[in-house]
Amino acid sequence: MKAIFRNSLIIFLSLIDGGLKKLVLEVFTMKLIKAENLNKTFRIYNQGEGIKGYLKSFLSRDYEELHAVENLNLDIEEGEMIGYIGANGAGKSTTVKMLTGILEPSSGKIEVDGRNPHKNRKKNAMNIGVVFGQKTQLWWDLPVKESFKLLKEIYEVSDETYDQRIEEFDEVLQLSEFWDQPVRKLSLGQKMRCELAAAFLHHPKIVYLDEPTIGLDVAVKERIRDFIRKMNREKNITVMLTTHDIGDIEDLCDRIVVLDEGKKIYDGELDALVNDFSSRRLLMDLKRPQEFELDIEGVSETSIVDEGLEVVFDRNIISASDLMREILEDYEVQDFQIKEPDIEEVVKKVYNEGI
Amino acid sequence: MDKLEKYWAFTRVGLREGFQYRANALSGIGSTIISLVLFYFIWKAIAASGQLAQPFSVIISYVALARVIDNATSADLENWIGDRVRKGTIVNELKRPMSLRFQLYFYQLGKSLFKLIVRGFPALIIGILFLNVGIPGPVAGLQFLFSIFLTLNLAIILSYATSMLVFWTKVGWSLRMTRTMVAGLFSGAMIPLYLVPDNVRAVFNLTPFPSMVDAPISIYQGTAESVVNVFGIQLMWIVILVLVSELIWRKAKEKLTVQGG
Repeated sequence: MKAIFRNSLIIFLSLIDGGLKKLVLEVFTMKLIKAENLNKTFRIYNQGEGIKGYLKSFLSRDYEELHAVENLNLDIEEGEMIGYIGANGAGKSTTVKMLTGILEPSSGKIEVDGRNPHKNRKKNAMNIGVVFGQKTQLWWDLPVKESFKLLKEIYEVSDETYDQRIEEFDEVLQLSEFWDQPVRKLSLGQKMRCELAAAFLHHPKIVYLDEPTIGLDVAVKERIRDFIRKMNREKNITVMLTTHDIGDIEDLCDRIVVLDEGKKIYDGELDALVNDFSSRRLLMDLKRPQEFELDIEGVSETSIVDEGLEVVFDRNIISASDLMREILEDYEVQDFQIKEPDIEEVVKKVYNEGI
Repeated sequence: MDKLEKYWAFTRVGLREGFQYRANALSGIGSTIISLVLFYFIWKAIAASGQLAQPFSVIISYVALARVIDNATSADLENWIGDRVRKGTIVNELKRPMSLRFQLYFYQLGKSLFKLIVRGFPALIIGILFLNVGIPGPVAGLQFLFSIFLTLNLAIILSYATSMLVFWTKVGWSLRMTRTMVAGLFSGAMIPLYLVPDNVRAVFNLTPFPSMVDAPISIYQGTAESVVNVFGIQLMWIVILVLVSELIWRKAKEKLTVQGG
C-alpha cells in the first residue's frame, strides 16, 4: 500500500516536473516569430518582346504564377539577430512584407508576438520597426527633426523618453550634424543613419532591416552595425536583417537563414555553414610545380595560382596535417600555407549552386 | 480610435511642407491671379457677344469667386499616391500603425489649409477690389466659411477616392487630370451654373461637383434659397464619397495585399 502511494507520488511529481520544465522552457525561450508552411504566390504577366509583343501584352495579358515564397518555416526567438540572405528575387522582401502585415500570405500561418500580423496590422505595427533600404520613410522636403516629431506622435513616445532616446542615438549615429537640414540635402549615409534611428525610436520588439547598409562607405557601415549591435544587446530588440553584405552578417548575426527561389535552403549557425560547405585550400611553394602529381582521396583539385601551387581538399576526408605529411614524402616543399574559407565565397557558392 | 495627436501630426506635416518653400507658395498665388485675369478676358469676350442672360458685372463676380474657391480648395492625392505606388515607397505608409485613409486625409488637410490661407485670402481680396465680388454680411460670411470647410472636405475625399484607382493605373497624373476636368465643368469653376440650361443642370446635380464650387458661391452671394439645404447636400455628398472611397479602397487593399500592388 505504502509502495503504491510512493510510486504514484513519484509519477505525480515527475509529471509536475515535466510540465514545469516545459513551462520554464516556453517562458524563457519565447518564440517571437513563428511561420509555418508560408506561401506567397504572385500573378505576373508577360511583357512580351518588341513592339508587336508590347502591343499584344497591352491588349491581352497572359498571366503566370510566381512563387515568391514557398513552404517557409521560420522560428525566431526573442533577442536573436538573424541574417536573412539570398540572391535578388529570392523572396526576402516578400517575407518581410508578410511579417510586417503588409502582404497577406497565400497560405500558411504566421504569428508575430502571438498575433497574426495581417489581421492585427495596426497592433503589430506598434511593436515593430522597419527599414526598407532604398525606400526612405523620411519626409523629403522637411528638416530631419520634423520626421522624428511625427514618429514620436505615431508611436506614442513621451516627450521625456523622446529627448532621452534622441540624445542616446546621437552618440552613435551623430544625428545632430544634420538635424535641421531638409532630408533631400542629406547624403545616402546620413539618410540611412536617420532611417535606423527612426526604426528603433519606439524601442520595438522586432526590427526588420531590409538592406540597411546598401551603397554605404565603410565608416558609415561600421557605425550602423555598432548601433544595431548596441540596440540588440542593451534593449534585447530582436533584429532580422536582409542583406547582401557579408560584413553585416559576419559582424552581427549568429544565425543565418538562406533563401533560394522562395525556398529555405539553410537555417543555422554561420560558422557551421562555412565549415560544412567550403573546402579548404593548401598553398605550397614548390621548386618545380609543373611536375607535381597527387593521387590522394579527399583532394579534388590542384592548380597553379599566383602564390604557388594550390591544392583543394575536403577536410572531412583528409586532415591538413595528413595531407602535408603525404606530400612531403614525395616532394620538397619550401613553404605551406592553409587558406581559411572565405564566407563570401561560401555565400556565393550557395547562391549559385544551392546546398 | 487612436489619439488625435497622431492625426494632427500629419496635418502639421502638410502645413509645414507648404511653408517650406516660399517661392513655390508665391508661384501658387501667381497662378491663381493669372487664372483670374485669364477668365476676366474670356468672359468679357463672351459678354461682348451680348447673348448672355446676365450682365458682365454679375457674371464676373461669380467667375472670380469660382476661380478663388477652386484654386484654394484643390487637393492632389493622386500624384502623391501614384508616386509612392510606382516607386514602392507606399510600404512606409502601410507599415505605420494607422490606417492609410486617415494618414492621407489629415496630411492633405494640412496642405489644403495652407492653400486656403496663402492662396485663398489674397485672391479673394483681389476679387473684392477689382472684380466686383462684393462683401457678404457677417452671417453670410460665417456660413460661407463653413461651406468652404465642407468644400475642402469634399475636395480631399474626392481626390482620395480617385487616388485609390492608382493601384490599378499606377500613374496618378492622368487620374488627376480627368478628375479636375470633369469637376471643372460640372462644379461651376469654369462656367456659372445659372447659365447652364435647366435639364443639363439637373444632370450636374446628380454629381457631387456643384456642391464644391456653386454651393459656397450661392451662400456668399445670397442666391441660395435655403442655406440649410445647401449644407445638407454638401454633407450628403461627403457621406456618399466616403462610402464610395471605402469601397474602392477595399478592392485596392485586396489587390495590394494579395497581388503585392
